[in-house]
Amino acid sequence: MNGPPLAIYGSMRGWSAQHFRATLQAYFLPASMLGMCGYVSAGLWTREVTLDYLLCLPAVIPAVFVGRAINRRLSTEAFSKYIYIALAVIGLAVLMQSLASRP
Amino acid sequence: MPVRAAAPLAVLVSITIAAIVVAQDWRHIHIRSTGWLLLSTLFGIPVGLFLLVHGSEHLVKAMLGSLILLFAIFCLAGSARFQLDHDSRPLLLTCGFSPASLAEPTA
Repeated sequence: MNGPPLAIYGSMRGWSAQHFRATLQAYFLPASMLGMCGYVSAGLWTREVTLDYLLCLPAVIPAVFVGRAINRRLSTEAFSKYIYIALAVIGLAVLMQSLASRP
Repeated sequence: MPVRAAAPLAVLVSITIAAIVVAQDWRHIHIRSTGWLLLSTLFGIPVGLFLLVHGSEHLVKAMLGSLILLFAIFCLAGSARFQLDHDSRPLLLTCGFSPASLAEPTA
């Protein structure tokens, strides 16, 4: 649930695609590290997780560079439109999820 | 893959992506905004745990989902009402606080 409210703020401020990507990832880096501390303390960082993570890396790292290349070609207007569409889909999904989990 | 393995794996991947992006594009980071968002997230985490324990998570999710959906629809319809010319500290704190208050439990 971390992304949408941050995306709303970035789109309200009219951040460019590059600023958007860099600022959100600068937020996610310490926030995810904090989350990982929770998983470590709960004993969930296992050997299996490390092996799966190492298997993922050959796909993840090139994807980051491809994502950056695409990001740099997007105009702020086009990027904003994609953000709004993604937010609409996420908002609808969260709403439906909450209705389905109603006690 | 069980959630107990998938969740830490997703966070490890997230850390890797974020570290690469920050190293590549640190010049584009809005440092002050990031700091306020992180600060409010720290305060939102205990509230999120409280909501999870007391079972009102679905209500908060319904409100947040509705807000996100309405915001997106207004913006797609061309409304300029939600544009900010300058950083808004109250809004930064709200945006940082709200996702944290819905954070999934780590175990």
